[in-house]
Amino acid sequence: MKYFAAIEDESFEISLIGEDRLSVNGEVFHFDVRRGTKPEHFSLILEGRSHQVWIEEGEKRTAGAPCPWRVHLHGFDYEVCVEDERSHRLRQFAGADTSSNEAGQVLAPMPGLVVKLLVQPGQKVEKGEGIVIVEAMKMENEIRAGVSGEVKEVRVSDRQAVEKGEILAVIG
Amino acid sequence: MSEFKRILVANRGEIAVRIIRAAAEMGIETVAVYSDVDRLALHTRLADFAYRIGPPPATESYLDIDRVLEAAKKSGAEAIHPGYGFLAENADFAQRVTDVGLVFIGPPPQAIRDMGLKTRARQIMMEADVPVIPGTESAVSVGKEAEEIARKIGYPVLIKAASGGGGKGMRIVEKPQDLLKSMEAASREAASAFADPQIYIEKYLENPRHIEVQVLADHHGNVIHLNERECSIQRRHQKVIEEAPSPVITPDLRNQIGQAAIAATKACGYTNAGTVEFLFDRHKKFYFLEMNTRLQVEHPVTEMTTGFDLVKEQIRIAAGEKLSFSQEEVKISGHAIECRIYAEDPLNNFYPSTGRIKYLHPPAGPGIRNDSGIFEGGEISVYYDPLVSKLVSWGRDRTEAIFRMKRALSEYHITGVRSNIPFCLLVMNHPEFAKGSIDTHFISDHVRIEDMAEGPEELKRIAAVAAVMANHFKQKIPALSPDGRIGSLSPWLTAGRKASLQ
Repeated sequence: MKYFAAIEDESFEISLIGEDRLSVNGEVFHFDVRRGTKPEHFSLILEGRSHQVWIEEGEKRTAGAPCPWRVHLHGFDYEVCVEDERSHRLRQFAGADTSSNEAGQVLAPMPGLVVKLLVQPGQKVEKGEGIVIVEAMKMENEIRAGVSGEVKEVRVSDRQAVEKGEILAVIG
Repeated sequence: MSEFKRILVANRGEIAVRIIRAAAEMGIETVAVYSDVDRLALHTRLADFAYRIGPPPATESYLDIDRVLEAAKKSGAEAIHPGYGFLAENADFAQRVTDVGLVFIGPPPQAIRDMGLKTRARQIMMEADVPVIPGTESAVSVGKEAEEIARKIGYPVLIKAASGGGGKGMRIVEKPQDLLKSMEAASREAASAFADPQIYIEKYLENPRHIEVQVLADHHGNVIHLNERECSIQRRHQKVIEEAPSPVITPDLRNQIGQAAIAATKACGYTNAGTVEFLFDRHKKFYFLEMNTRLQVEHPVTEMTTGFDLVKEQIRIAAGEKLSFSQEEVKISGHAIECRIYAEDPLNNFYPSTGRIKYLHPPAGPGIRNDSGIFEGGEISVYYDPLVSKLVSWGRDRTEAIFRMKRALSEYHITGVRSNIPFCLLVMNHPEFAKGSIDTHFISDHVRIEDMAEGPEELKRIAAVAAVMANHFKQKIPALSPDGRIGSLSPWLTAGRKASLQ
């Protein structure tokens, strides 16, 4: 069973070998995994090294494979995108176009109030550029573009209340 | 004067729990007030009495003076501790508490008012010979006069709101041609945030350190300081990491800044606990910034390095007692660091993360103190700020305090909401932090968002393996067999065999 995992720009090819070994990008490790005391908690022993890992659903969207996991270990957080071999092959042959439009959606990360629109339809933006400012929990939060491209739509207006997950703008 | 028998805590969360604990240690009964979403909160459950004061929005509960006073009356409380935030620096509240015959555990209303208006605070300090940042003595209006003042102060200048803080109504002006436009923008922002468009101009100190001094004053004329705290690690003008003592303050400077803080405290007729904030520049000069007329969030680092309990002292002072220790007894023992753990997502521009806390495992062990108001099953809601806890480490020296904090951060686990633990760890691991080379630009200068997910290389590999494992089991509901192995016949084994058959 082969999986492809990606963290930011790094990718890992992970395969099972027999009952107690796996390979990561060709390197083989002995492993033992047990569920911990809570559903999100795991104890992983890889080649003798003991790691506690907490795994939850992720939320970041990037162009490419879906990123469903947020992994926390040793004080660090990672967003990990995982797909099995079949999905990985399909996506590679189909090309970047089948990557969901979702990557270009700029979503409200929490309920709040739109207080400033920073872009207009037709404007070219870079990944990481500010799109909208949403006020929530007494703070102004700049919501940024997850991809570079052109602003296709701005779906909200100034002083509009938004829900968590609501689409604020679309970049294509 | 007799001690109080019962006090009301006009706050919630972590600080309410802190006050309840101090009172309990003194044998004083406590009264909690709670909004509907806080019915099961830790402070509600720990207090001796609890009264509902309204629906979740703060304006209809914790900020509602009438409701708070009504609860005080019903409960028979003799005094009210306001904590920090909410009504703590509301002079009208302090006045009304006194008007109904109760004791406000804090400074006199007039001191709150005077220090709350930044221009007035500056005037008082100048009259008391406390060094202030060169700037205007009163509010300035847009125009020729402002241009002349800015020219005299010397660019770059800082425009600030007279009635505010927290970065709102603030603008840095590097060039004279930008002055008037910036003043207008700052004034608009100030009007919107603080209902007061008044602004004033100060010299902008480049890369200053934010150093503050804890003071205590009783009603018998005793005023002392409990050393300084360094609060330079800030994000968007909000403190994230604080420590005591400051790595750059020598005993001589400590004495100077301490005396200045005492002078400031006396100048505004202050009593109870307070903090005088200074900016410290590269030339080792310090300037009065503002006075916080309340107990501060970061007070634990002072407590850990002096051994005194500030909340108990506040209660004693309010009850009319003399300070229970003298200036000579204030020493510095070791070093303490505090990290404010917030429910924010460091991988997503620090957006507040709301939701229910599913799993909470705070750190413990030697030299670790965790002041928390949350609990497993509790909720971080949109109605209040997302502070999860204050994690404090103490060590014999700064190095030990840093290593202890790193150790504690890596043991601290929360699921259900995101937290800024990876961010705090990033700062603790930063070589500039270890050197003590910090100023208020530390985060913007040294910390990149991308670093948040840059741990040691091998961690990424493990995270990838763990995620693959989680993916593999996503569709299954594995039973926890007696030995903890996932499933009675590990699906990994099944997959392994299938693969070897191909």
